[in-house]
Amino acid sequence: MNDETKYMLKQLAFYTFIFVVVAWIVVPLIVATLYAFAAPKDYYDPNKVIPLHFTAKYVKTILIHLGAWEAIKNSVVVALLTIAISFTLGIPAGYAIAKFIFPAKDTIKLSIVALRMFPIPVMAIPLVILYIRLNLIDTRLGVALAHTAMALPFVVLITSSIFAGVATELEEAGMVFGLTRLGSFLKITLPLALPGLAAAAMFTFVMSWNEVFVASVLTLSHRTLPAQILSIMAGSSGGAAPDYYKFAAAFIMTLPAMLFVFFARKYLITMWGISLK
Amino acid sequence: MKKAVLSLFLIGVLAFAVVASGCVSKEETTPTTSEQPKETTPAKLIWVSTQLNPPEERAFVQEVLLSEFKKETGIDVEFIAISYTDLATRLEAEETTGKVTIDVIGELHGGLDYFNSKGWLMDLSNMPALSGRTFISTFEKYATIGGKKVYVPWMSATYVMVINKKAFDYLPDGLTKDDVMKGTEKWTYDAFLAWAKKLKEATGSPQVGFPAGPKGLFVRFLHGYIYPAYTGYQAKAFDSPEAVTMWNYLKSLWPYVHPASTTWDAMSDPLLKGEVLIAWDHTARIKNAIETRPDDFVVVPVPRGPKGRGFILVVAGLAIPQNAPNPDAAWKLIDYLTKPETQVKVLEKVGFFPTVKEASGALPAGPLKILAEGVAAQSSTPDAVVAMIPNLGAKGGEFKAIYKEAFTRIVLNNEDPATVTKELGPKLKGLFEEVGIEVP
Repeated sequence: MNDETKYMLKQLAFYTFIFVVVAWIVVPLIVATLYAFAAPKDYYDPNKVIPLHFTAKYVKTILIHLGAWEAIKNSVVVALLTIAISFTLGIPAGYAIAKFIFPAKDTIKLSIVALRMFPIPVMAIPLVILYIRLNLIDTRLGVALAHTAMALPFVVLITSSIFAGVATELEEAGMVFGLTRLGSFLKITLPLALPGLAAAAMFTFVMSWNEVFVASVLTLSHRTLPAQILSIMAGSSGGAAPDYYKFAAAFIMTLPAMLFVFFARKYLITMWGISLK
Repeated sequence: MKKAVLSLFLIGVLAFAVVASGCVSKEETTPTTSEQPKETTPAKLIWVSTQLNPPEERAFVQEVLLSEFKKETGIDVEFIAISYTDLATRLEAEETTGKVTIDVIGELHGGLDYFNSKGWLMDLSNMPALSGRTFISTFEKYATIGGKKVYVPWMSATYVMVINKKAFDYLPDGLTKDDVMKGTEKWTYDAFLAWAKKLKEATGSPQVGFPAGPKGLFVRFLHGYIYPAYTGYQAKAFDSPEAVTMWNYLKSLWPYVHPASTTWDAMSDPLLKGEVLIAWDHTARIKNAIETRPDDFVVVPVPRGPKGRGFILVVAGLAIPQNAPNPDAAWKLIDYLTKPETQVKVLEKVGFFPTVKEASGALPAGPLKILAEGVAAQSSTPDAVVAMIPNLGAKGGEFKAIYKEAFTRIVLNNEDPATVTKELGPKLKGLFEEVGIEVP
């Protein structure tokens, strides 16, 4: 075997691998989209793999009659609130962990992560009782607070690693030239950390967007999209929704997330720390 | 300084929480409604239901039933589809705090039985009589648990067999299409086995399907269909010699049952995709197959066993939680939903059967007629052994688990039926003793 064939084979293996990975992700999306709009007759016809007749009826029913559109709006509001609250609480904590040395720092860090250890279903009933007492039940803010509790540990850890990546010397230089500590944070560290923070925001957004358990337990009327879709698709009569409704629901669930990632993908790379040098 | 900033943030968040959650405005509105309880109609009734949850049924409830109800009474109703576990969590929390927001609950008998055992439901016997209808007495008796009227029977359903007409080409000797359609003496479990065998031999793959998946209702087939058919009882003869015969029968049937059965939750899609030709399931879960291709399927009574033709009647009821905010308006909704006209509409559109005598003769037009005819044929068979899911309250889950365990061990893991049933029998009967009801 000469070098050229070796190289060709390597290339072939590489592209096959890439193809498999891409197909792994893209094929289900294509199938879900295609069947979301397929007419039932085509869908159930064993001789047809690709449907030829299309209808938007099922997507429309779910969106308009069954409240998925309202749920999308709720989801966005809840996700934005979650980001706002978890950032107001998480950024100072992340900054402190990154920049200061204080006793029991590692223990605190560990206990922040340990918060995520408790399974939420165990806390469901006390949580609902607490929410009813606080009049937070059935509100978007209530769901956002619960999502904050879930996202906060990650926000603290992600932001602390981002702040740790911004050189302390720059801040010190700023303070030498007359900035206060807060001023040097706002004018120097924050702008430098912004891409990383955007990534953390995205992470929080995605977590809130996907979360279903808390959202279904805490709300009846202001449901977020996953909770609404779950109640449409499953309910107690699990699996009773016909397949084409499930595909339509999958389409509705994935479309906003895909659009979001499409516009925000360059920030996602930042989360891995590539542009933060 | 940082501390001050942080506490400022916290205060800000808290203040925002209080304002946005609307505690202030809520407290303002409550007194006005309590001053004149008879005059004001509630802004919105909250009706949570685990029934009629699938997309099309839900659209029907919102656009037909509830808009009509609003026209009649002027009361707005919010229909909330919810899963059983979420409902239980929510109801427990609301009852614990005493701040109840749910006005009406639509649930299966089993769930309501459990909620009642926890003391979460109102006694409905003091409510005004519902005029112009007679409830089927079996259902009415069933809804009265321990002298308390727990719910109003709302809809009933059963489990039937659906047969793709192609399967009739492979009928075994001695069994005719008419026998199967009408549910005669000859339509037995043994004939069913012979048919399943012939189907597999002729087509090369097993053509019988059961919903034995994680959310499937196969366990109802075990305790309410085949057990009564072979032993005459659901649980009383759990470890009898007849039961051993029954388990051996199931073992011999299983090779002709589609292996994907243990993943299926509802049989409508496997039927439509042509994966199986014969299926057993809840009427609501095969309805879509009949509606999509009404010319291809028939609904038939289940086969009979040595002790008769066992089948289950399922009842869903409407209940009002203890301390519900608007019981009078809730009662109006219950009144509307159990009216014979409404019940016929529900049968026509979603295929759930009436619980009042005035509506029970009605046959819907269109595809669901096939379903109604099959169910009617099943309930009018002379050898019927009707089973009702027992009122085990909180123990209902364990009851199902025992049958599931027996099935897994005997049929799937090939253990000895006599040993397994002897082992599980006392456990099963213990459940009934604990709750204090007769073993069915």
